[in-house]
Amino acid sequence: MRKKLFLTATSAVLLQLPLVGVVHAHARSGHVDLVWQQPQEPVTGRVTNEAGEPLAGVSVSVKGTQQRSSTNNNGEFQIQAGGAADVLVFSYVGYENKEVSVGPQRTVLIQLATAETAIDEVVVVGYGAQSKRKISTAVSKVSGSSINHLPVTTPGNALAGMAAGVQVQSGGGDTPGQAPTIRIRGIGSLGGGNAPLYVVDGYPLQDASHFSRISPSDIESIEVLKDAASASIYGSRAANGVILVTTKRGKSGKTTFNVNAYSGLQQVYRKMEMMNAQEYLQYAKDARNASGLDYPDVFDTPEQLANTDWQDVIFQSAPMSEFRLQALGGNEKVQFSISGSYLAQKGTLKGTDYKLASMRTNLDAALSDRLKIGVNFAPSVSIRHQQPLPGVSGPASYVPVYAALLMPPVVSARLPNGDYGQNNVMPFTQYGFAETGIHNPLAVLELNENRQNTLNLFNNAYLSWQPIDGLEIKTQGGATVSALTNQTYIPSTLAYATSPFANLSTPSLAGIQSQTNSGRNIDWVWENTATYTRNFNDVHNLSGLLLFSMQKTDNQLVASTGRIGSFSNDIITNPTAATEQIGSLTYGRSSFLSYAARVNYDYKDKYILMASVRTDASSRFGPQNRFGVFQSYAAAWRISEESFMESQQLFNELKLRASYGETGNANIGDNTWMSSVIARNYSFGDERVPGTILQGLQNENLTWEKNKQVNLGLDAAFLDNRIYLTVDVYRKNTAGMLFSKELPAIVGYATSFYTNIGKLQNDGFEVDLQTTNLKGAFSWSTNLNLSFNRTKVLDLGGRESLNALAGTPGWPNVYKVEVGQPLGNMYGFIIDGVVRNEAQLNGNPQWPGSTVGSYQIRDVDGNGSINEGDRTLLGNGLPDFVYGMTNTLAYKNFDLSIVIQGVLGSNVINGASRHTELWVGRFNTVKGMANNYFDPANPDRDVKYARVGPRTGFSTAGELHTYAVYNGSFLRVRNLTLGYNLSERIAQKLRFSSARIYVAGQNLLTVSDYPGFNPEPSMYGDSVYQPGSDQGTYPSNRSYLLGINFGF
Amino acid sequence: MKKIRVVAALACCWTTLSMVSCTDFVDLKYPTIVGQDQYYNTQSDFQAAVNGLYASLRPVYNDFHTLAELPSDNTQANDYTLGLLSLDQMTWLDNNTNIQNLWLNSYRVIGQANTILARINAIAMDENVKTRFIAEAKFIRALMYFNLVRFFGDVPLVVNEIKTEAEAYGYLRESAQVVYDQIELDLTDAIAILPSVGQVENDGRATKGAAQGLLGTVYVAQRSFEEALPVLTELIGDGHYKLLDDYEALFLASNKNNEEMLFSIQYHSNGNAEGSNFSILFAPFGSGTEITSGGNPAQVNEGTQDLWDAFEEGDARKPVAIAKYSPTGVYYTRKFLDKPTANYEASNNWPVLRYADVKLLYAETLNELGRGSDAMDELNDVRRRADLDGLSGLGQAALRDAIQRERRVELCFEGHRWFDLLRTGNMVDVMSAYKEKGVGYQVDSYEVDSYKVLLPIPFRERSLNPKLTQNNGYE
Repeated sequence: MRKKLFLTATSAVLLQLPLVGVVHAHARSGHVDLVWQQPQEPVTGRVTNEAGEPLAGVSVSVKGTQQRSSTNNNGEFQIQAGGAADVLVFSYVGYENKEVSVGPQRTVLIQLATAETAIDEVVVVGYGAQSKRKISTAVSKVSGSSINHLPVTTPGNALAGMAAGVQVQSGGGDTPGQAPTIRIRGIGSLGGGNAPLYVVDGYPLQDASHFSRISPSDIESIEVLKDAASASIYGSRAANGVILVTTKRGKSGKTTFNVNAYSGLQQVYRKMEMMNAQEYLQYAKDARNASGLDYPDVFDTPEQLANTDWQDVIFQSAPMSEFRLQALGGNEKVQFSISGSYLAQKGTLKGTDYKLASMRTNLDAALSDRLKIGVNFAPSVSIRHQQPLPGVSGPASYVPVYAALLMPPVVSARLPNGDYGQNNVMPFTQYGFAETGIHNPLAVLELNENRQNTLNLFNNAYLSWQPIDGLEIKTQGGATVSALTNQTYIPSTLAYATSPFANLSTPSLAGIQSQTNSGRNIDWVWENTATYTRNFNDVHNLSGLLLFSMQKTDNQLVASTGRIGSFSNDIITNPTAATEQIGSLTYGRSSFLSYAARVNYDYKDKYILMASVRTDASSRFGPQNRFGVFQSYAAAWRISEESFMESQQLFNELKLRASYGETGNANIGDNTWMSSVIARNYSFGDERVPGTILQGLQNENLTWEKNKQVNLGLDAAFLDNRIYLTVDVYRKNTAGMLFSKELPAIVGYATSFYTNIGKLQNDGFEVDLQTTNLKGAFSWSTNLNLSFNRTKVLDLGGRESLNALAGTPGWPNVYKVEVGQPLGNMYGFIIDGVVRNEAQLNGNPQWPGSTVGSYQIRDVDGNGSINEGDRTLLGNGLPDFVYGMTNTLAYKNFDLSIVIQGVLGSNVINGASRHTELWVGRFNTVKGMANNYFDPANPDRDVKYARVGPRTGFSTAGELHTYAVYNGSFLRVRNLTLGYNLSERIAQKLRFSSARIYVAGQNLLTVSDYPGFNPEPSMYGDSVYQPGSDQGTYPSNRSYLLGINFGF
Repeated sequence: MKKIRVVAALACCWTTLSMVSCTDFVDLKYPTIVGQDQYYNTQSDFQAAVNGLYASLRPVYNDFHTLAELPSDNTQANDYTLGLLSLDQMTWLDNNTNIQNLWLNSYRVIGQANTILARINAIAMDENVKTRFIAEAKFIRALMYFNLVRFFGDVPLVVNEIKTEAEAYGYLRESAQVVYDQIELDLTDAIAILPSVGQVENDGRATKGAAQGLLGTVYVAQRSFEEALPVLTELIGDGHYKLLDDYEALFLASNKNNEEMLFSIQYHSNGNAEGSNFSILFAPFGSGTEITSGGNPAQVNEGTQDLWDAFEEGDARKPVAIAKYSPTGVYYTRKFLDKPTANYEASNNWPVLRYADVKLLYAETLNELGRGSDAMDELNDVRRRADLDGLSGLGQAALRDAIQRERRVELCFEGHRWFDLLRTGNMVDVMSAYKEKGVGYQVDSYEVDSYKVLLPIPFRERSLNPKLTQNNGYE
């Protein structure tokens, strides 16, 4: 009935306006319809995503015509179209294109599906988002779906092996709650920090801990801005790359809940092979006999002695579990995402753990068609217990991991009366035998307290206004606050400096030590952007961005220490138990003021250009040189869009990219440029007097380190988008390095000062390959990435090299930074076995003091004597290649994902061997040394180690040597997750919309030559001078987890 | 409507930008930092700076024993603290940490002194105070150069405040004689101004007597006995100092700056690591809290059998100077006994110059100038305090040896022995003989050589400034 009326009406109009009709479909059919069509009411409709949320800005066109329109904020559109047979084409970045016929109703409701091909992804860039098609710079995207499920304690750990050019190193092993070191494209600075800038939902973090506390489940995507052209919009803080984190936001439609819970056990991946009691006793006796010294009498009655495996004593199987709940929903006006998670991880080293409770609320509301507001609010609380480790303050002899290696196995962990067994008492101290500096590591782990409570608040809000179509003005303000309390306590029962014989049954107040640190860091940012986007003549796409930003950080740390020896009781476990308390107060402050502009242009999606400029000023730099300007340019050519490519079937996408950009590094501390007067108090007699000294050479010209990077890239999609390949080559030149330059000692008040000198170069390439190997019932996709980076020192401000640094404490002059060389070079001496006889001793150049049974050191420089000139390159602590591979497989209800990750071409220094391969007999020693040292009675036996007992000649404890340097390459099966999805029928019976159970294994296998606890150790934290050094660092774990994941 | 919105948008942008003054926002005040431009303006600033100058002596003397004792026949290393082995065995290289730190820390003190001296003249303050500050700074600067010139020979001589990096490269090694001239000049200036212990309390500040004693030592070190004589004669004649009857009381932390002390580095236990560490450093391994406390006994300056044997029968000083830790048979000194609560929390001062030292230098001077019997009187004063019989009837050469033997036992563990060996030219003979005896920790590995009378110029300095020459034997 209605149809009939409609036709009648249209024929009436047809007669009156015969010329206004649109001739349509001729292009498609090749002939002109003879039907004159009347103008019609516009077609209307609404476009949403799969969740029913409106999509704004969707391009709508009538196929084969020039008619175009786009959706408004509610997803609604109007378009002039012809008859029912007309085809409307909907396209939107990140979604699959859709074509529908107008149909008779002239009202259409369209749901767009998210694009599955990589090429259609939306990529978040600094202050905006772009279709991957239009990206002309080097940006890696890690989608939330590939990391959401990973059972990691910080999101940084989830990035390992996920993106080319991104190295994630857990130098501190699996210390609970410890964030890994993340480096993008190598090392750009010798003096400034090398950590990337983290930007969370548009907030550039001054305090990276806010990134580490994001639950991986809350992450929608992580984009890594790798080349300078993409990062340059962040100016003076972008030199080490930028990591953009976007958290999940609400969607209108039915509220969905998602619960993910897992629980499991962690174990130390690998123990070190140490001597047992029997082997140790033999070695200790040999060493003492050779020195003509007595060993404790009890060593001759081994049945009276323990046989303790100290590693078993200090390590444990440790539980780990996490519970994550997430609710997403909203209506057309307001959308929300609220999530909460609770993580509890015990350490495999006793006495260490981490608990984190965090929440995140993201709220968006449309106040009108043109006005939108939103808030992110993410509080989190954590408690962490640590133990003395390299990098955590405390004397080395109390580092339990190290002490467990050195403590002789003949000492009991616990005595019959419940006390801890110690080495510094009889019978071990008989004849001055025992090394009294090492203490029972179990006592330290059970009694020493080092607790850190941290409260973090992340707040961010925006107001966005579209005064006219295409123009968005946005103001965003935020603040991060963190408050931390660190409490350390050494109780009266723990053997320590002033009470070396304290034990459970013999407490001593004199041994108590306690300190409380309380810090708060406040940072605020205010960023204002105006973005204008316009299309001209349907072929020119132009968008521009203007930015103004201010940011200020203020940190304060207050510490109170109880004076040792003044503790009046052991009931109160903080400094107030001391009659004398000592306090200190430190401040840190910095501010940034920035302006930036960017233009993006493309011609028909084919020729793409980008240019940006940013100006930063910061308090961190000298008053004479505070402003820095950073510019960038990028261009891309999508060859696949050219007409000559139309006939080929191979490439779905072929794009060449080139970019150049400048970035800066401001990570040099707050007032490094200043010279100051600091306290050096003295006393006359017993009267303390205030004193001061001048410290530091002032440099008012100190300014930004400038980083210039050229990047060439190729994006190609083949075989119906089943293979997506990205290749990038880059050269990053750092000039005017923020660098602590040494001064001759005669200056007196400064031995170094910060200045802008020196040049460093990073060259590298990255390959990222995403393949869809199988589709259908059995699906299999692979994501493989490989990156190579080589750092080369070009200039050190006129010097040929910097003063060499220690490999570990006790091994000096190991790490050298030299012009023309890569960073991380390790130098030491080459051991050519053992001097077997007098002939060999006298016939070869020897280390001073050598005798038969000493190590034969190689005369590298061939000058006939062994000295410093024979120190030679033994390895390099930085990897050449970093790679990762993720395989995702699904068959029916099962899914399997495997993450493999590793490095190639690095070396590791086993610093523990300074003591575990010693000759004196007082420390426990590696199993490989048992009966494998020079025996004067049997000099021709093939042995690895020099004679035990008196040390003469080369000291393995005094200089780095070949025995201590290992290949640091490793391959690790980082995560393997096997899941089973309950069928919909069963899930719904259980009233779930979806349900999945899974088992996961973390670090099931590590292939590595290194015998230590962790194949990628770093006892000097993220030091770029001393990479790859190990001495009692926290072990890597292997863990097995069982989890469930359901939605309702 | 659209126009209005555009205008409003522009207005928003303008307001935002105009709210901020760029330079102010990035010009921050740091609440805990005193800039150098704000300082060195008042008397109290200089008072604190002079105190800080004294305080910067502590790092120099914290490890002084490693270079002034360990290479000698008095003390030895052990296989626990391997870093010190090369200092004991005279196998040090130019990259040795202790040698480099000595250089760094000494010039650090000199730098502070130069800053004070360069800036104080322009400041209005009490003239008497000002001249005393100047004299104290000169005394301390002279003390540091005296150490440097004895250890390294020719050294860069800096007496002005270095203001720029470029300036620092303008200084090369000056001949030892020029350095000695500056030391003598500084000390002569200091003697003219500094008050005597009679006028002020001996609280550890530089006094006239300290400067006289140091100048005397400087002359003796150059074997300029003619010049040394009047200085030491005047010092002794002034009568402000005496030998304490009780040798043990000399060193007690409770008896600092006693009448025998001309100058010592002051340490104070107050929980801020402003104390000394000698009690822990020198205590034998494994002694726990028996001898010291607060840290692991480090046994870094172990006495030798040779030193133990050098004491005469009945020497009252011996139980204080050197003791045997019976469980291990290790010799250690009891001159720096304390039970601190932690490292660098002991109260023991480090004696730089004491009256017995002065008396023996005086005896040496007299003997070298042919006044043997006067010399013997001075020597016997020191011996009698030790309950030893006086010596008599010795010829010049015999007396010379007796004085050196006396110095060895009287001043052991106080950082004199190595200098005495160098000054008397006996180092090679004495150390070779010591090696020959073959008693002691790895004495076989000693590399005694005449070029070892000077330490190598630290690698760090020469790599920074290749124009600095190296001492003979170390290239």
